[in-house]
Amino acid sequence: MKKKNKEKVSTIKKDFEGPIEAGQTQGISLQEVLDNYLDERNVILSLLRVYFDKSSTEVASELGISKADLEKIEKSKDLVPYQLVPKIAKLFDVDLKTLLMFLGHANLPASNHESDDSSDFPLAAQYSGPELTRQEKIDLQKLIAIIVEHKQMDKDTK
Amino acid sequence: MRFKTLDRVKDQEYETQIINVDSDASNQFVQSWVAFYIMKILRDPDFSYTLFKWDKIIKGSFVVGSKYQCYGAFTGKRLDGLLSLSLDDILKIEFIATAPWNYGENGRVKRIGSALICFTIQMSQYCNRRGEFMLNAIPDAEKFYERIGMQATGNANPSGLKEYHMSETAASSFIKENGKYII
Repeated sequence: MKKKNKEKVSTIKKDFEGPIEAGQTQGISLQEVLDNYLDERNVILSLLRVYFDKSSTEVASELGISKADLEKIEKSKDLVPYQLVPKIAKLFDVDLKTLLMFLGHANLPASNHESDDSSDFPLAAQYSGPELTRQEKIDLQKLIAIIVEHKQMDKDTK
Repeated sequence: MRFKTLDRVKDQEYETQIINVDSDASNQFVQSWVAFYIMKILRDPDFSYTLFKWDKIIKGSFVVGSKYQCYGAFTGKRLDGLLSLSLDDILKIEFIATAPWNYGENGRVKRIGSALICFTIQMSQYCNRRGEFMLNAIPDAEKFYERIGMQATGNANPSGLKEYHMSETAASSFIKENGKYII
């Protein structure tokens, strides 16, 4: 049995090709992905529900809100209330910081490549740095601090 | 072209077919590739897959007189890979990608990249280009292209992606090595 498993692993390793992506551009930034392909950011909540095969009733119950409220939030253009975001992250086992950014509570890191629509820009104009700007980092940290504070408040009031 | 690919979750070989895409492939890209990509990043923020605007690339290939042709690698109805080619003096891979669920060491279906490269070589041979073709690789993929015998030309495109050339000899070796998977 062990031998069979070893053989399986070696076949998989042998068949692993590595990334093959090639193209005229360096691809779409996360910001563009979210802006281009989601009607509203809150669609992510529906996506999570669908991906993890949970009903509105289940999710609403686990978030401690009514089903009607959940549906309202999912369809709303307003930001998901940030005290709910850590609960959502925990429920679906997703990264809190990324979820905050995806739901629009914090800025996404600056892209390190140009937009797919501007491939004719000179190279020097395309680079905007891969890291968050200082302002963004402070915003994000403030936000996380607020959320942690709210989480603590939730605990204290239980 | 039909190619034997390996589903590592089911530990089973499947037949993947490479064919011209229609508008449904564009829908599949948005509904499955993009949705998976978003979910994957939420669970693993370090997921480094490069997503191209395949919806636009696919639609662009439908324009009458376009020099671009777009092909999809379908395992059953599932779109496992995409390829955009253009033909001038030499055949060029404009864009190529496996689906995000196939990406990385833990990816689901293996050999999609090899299938798309075999297909490109066959297209090149069919167009009297002797199996030769060019492409611009994203940095993470450079090793793959070097490993299959492609050589950097020393040029780069406006996005800074290095240009690679597949010679007739390297193409023959690639087909020889992967011919066993072609059905």
